[in-house]
Amino acid sequence: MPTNIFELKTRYRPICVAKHLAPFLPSHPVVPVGGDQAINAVSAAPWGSASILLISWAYIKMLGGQGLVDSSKIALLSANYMAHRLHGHYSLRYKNANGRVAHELLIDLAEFEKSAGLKVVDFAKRLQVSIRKIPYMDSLSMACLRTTVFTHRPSHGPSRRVCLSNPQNPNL
Amino acid sequence: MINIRREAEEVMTGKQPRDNNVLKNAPHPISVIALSDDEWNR
Repeated sequence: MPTNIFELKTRYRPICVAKHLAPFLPSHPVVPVGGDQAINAVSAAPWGSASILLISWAYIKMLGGQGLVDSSKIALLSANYMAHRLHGHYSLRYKNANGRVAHELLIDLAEFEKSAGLKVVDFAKRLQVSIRKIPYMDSLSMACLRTTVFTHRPSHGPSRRVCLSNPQNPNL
Repeated sequence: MINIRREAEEVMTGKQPRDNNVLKNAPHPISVIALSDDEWNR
């Protein structure tokens, strides 16, 4: 299966944003796009890849109504399992009133930069090393577990968070 | 992730140096792991 949420995030770029966010729209190393205070590239293609829409459509068609519901439930369960396991070890963001997360979870790593000089990218690099040691984990699951530095709030400067997509359900 | 948290803890408590630890030096490709004892600097 060729796609997952990680791929969605890396192929896609914003279609439209509120006016105050326009200067921060992501740029690209080869083709200059984005605003005058652009953040780094978020997709390999400068304007994003339209083919991702086709892949999403194909997934929905192949899963069917019940399959879509089932895979969504597994995603929620798995992400909450991970959030529960990591509780106490990391500071997790964006939990709801019941302490639950959705299909992915956000870890705030800001405390480590202050106390140990460790940045998000250090955790991301280290995590990739760990994942390669897990037997039978295919490259797709690896890609899902890869960390994505969230830059969805450019007005607050570069975010110091890591996002873990759900390895149990690469479809979502 | 839990293990990485423990590694970060060692940097925070000063057990490991801030600029030369398993997080800062990651990833650890075979080309580095296979270095001779003389060349090894980690």
